[in-house]
Amino acid sequence: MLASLLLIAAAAAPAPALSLHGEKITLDNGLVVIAAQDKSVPGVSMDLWYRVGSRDEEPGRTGFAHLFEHLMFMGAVHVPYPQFDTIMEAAGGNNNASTNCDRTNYWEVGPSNLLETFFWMESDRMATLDRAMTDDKLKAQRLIVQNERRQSYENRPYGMADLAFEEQVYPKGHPYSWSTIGSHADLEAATLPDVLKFFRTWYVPNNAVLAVVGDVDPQAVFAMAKKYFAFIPKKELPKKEAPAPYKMPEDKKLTLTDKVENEKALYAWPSPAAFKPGDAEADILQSILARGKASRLYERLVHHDQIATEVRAFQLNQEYGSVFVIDAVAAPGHHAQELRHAIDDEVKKLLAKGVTRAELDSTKSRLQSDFARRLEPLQSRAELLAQYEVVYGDPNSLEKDLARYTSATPASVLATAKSILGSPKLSVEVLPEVKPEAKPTEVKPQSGGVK
Amino acid sequence: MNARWMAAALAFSMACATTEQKKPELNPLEQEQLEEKQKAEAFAAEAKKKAEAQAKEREEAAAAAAKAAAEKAAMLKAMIAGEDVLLTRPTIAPLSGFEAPVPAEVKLKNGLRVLVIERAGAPIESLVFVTKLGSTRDPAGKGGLSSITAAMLEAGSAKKSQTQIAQLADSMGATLRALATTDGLEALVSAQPGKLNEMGALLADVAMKPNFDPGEWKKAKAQRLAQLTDEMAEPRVAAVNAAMAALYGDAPLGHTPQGTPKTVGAIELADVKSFWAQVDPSEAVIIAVGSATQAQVLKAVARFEGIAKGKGAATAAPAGAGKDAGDKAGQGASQAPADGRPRFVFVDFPGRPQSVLWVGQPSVPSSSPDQVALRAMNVVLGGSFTSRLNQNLREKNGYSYGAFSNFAFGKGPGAFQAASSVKTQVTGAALGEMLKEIAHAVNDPLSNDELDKGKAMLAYGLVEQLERADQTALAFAGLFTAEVPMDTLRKIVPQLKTLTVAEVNAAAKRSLAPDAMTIVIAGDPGVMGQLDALKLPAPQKRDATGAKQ
Repeated sequence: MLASLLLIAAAAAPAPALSLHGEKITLDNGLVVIAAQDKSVPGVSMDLWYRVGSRDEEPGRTGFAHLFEHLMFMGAVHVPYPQFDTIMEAAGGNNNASTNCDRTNYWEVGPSNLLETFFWMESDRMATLDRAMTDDKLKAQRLIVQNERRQSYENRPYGMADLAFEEQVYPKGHPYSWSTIGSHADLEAATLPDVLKFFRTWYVPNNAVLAVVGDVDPQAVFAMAKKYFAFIPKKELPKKEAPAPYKMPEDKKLTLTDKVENEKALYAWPSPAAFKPGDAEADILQSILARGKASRLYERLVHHDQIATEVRAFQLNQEYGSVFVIDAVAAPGHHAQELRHAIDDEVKKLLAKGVTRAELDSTKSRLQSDFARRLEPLQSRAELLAQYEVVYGDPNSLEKDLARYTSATPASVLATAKSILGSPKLSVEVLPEVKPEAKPTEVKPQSGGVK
Repeated sequence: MNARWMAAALAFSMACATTEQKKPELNPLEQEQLEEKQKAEAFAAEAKKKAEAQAKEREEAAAAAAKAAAEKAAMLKAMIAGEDVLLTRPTIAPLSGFEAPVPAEVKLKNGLRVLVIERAGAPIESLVFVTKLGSTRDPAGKGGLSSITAAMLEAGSAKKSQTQIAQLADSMGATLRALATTDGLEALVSAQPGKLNEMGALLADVAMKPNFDPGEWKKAKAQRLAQLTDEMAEPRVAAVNAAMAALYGDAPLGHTPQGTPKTVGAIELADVKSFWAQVDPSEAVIIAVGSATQAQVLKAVARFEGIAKGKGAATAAPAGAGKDAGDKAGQGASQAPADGRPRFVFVDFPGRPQSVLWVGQPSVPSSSPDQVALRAMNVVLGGSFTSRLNQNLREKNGYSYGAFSNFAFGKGPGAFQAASSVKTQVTGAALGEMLKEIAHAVNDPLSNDELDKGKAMLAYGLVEQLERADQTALAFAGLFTAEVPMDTLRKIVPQLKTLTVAEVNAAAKRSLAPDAMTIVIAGDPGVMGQLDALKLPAPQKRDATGAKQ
């Protein structure tokens, strides 16, 4: 016994196993509640994941799921505006939320004595938000979301190209054929009845998963979950039908102008659905292509040819089908066409010869580190537990998720590369706008207020 | 003397002239009696008006309260079974505090300090080599030298090419990056535990054996110049460039760590070599955060004992340091802006849908005894969602997606800055509100509740800041380069406990001068007409690099 202890002490400390240990209950109304204890810091994080996103929007209402996310902070019956934020921040907590095409995620973080307050406030808005909703609240948040669109897309270099791959890869009518931020016209068209209908349809306990991680006793978490959520009735959810997997029938080309200094080239392909076969290989592929200074496209476009200053490859991992993107910003004096030629050449090489064992092994190591990094903050652990419950029906599926990556082989990566990169794609080029003449035209003031 | 009387007489005659037009002339006594009567009537009328206004206000408030009560009653009437559990707000029990770590410290033979924060079972191990060679040490006219030197550390060392170094890091699943801040140049490697010796070897190669290959240098410089050109299209970057140049001029804080196309263009490889030759064990430190013990860390970083005394290492203040740069810690050195500092700077971005607003001034260094008080004030002004700036510009007025403020504390008097991207059509109104909120937060005491919020958020902010190994290592690196003690973070919570509203207000008044702050707008020049009411001086035009036009 002593000898084996000494042996362990002498060896380099092995990396602790990557795993999550959440306990889970399901309330009668369908709400799944997960709790994991960690006493290392006196904090707690709650993550409430609703299975509704921009794909569930009605025609003519793009951007609505995200606008609705903003409205969730506008006060409900028992915690009226602006107390959701003021109560929390007064006690040292903070919160945020995010919306994508598949889901809307709300989280709180703070000292562990705020746990019951988090339950109280999340319950209040799930149970009573509609009763306290007003047209003024909608108007106020609409302005803010429109400012968000300006700040994140319109006034950011190449921001409009990011909207293109969200909107142009999947065909018209497909739930992924519009962006989560939506259009100004659709945001302006949203009405109070839309808000009430959306809330009553989707914000129900059987459409949500709640996860808590921190310096809390799981049994106390479950008791609070019953106290604050058991009374909220379940509701039948609309049937969702996943569209058939999609390949673009032919190449599609777009040219945009933007207020930028240099040209940009962007490719986007439909790719396998998140957590489905090929999805992990696609993540591995983007890492081999463009993550870090040893990656193929960085080495070729930025380092060797010096025709680009930046190259990226990434995936939007989505439930009905993902989007695989490669893009690059041209070095001064170089053109989008040169970028495309170099990318095409590297993709051709990859499809001909596949990836090396060394590239694959390195990528697996990096992806494992990524998982380890997600275990550091309480908040990202709570989010992972909720996500695994949604995806696998088991919050403790980290090993299962990780195995998708560690089991990839050069052959499986090549097969995925052929299936994605060998298919038709969206090609976008961004050209610098001709600069407006220097003489300014007066921009008249306009009331931005709502009150 | 004559002028004074004249002025009075003129005033009188003018007053008579105006009354004449409306009423017949009266003798002095009658005049006096009438004036008394008029005064009394006016007073009575004023009092009546006031009372009516107050009554109306009360009525309106009562009506609003009644309406709210009715609405609440209606909402409560619609309560569903079991919802009554929400009628009682949960209590928030007192919590035992969080104690920030203080690293254990040991010195290598060459005097290099090794600081270790041990966290059993931590999923990530972080190792960082920190020097004080930040961008404030860039020579005059060569802004960006520290930052591009950092890039060159990753571009080849110990007979390995840039690509081979990256491959080595990748194979360990490690993140490797070298970066410059205003006060430091930091090389960081982090990975899962169990690879500490390999991490130490990689870090030593990068920090001690850079090969500064001429071919890589040409590429690195061209790439940096291109990135800087791309950033010229980003109003948020331009606003900060212009602000730093306007605030600090040629002093070390007058450029961002990245530098500008002009100053980076002036840098040669020889500059990089002599800059890095300054590395000195007395001006550097190694910080390790993770599950490794001190003994394991010392073994992994043993090679750093080979760092000899630096060549030309600065012991005094760097050349070109402004008189405010750190030598008047906490003395309100920056209270009054330097003569000639422009109050209003405009960077042209025609046709943009938003204006970037930036308002600020040089503040105090990290060593200032006011630091914690100023941080608490900042949570309330612009450092939280419920901050005054965010509530006003975003929630109340819908001008913006968000508005914030912060202090760039460091070795020198880093900037206090408030910023927001606002819709172009509301630029003038939004700037007016921003200036009003800043002045209010400095001139008037916070409420007790606001200060309590500031304290609570700073205390838990510390927990969140130290959740990740990399962030923790960089937080302590920041203490080292700002030249403040390693127990600074641990002292924050006890300092907050005794902090009063009056102390916060006094600290704000010592450090900030709302009337003398510099205002930068990066946006469409057509908004100038919206600014009339603010009575700003004529704008100084700067380009997106911060250079005067």
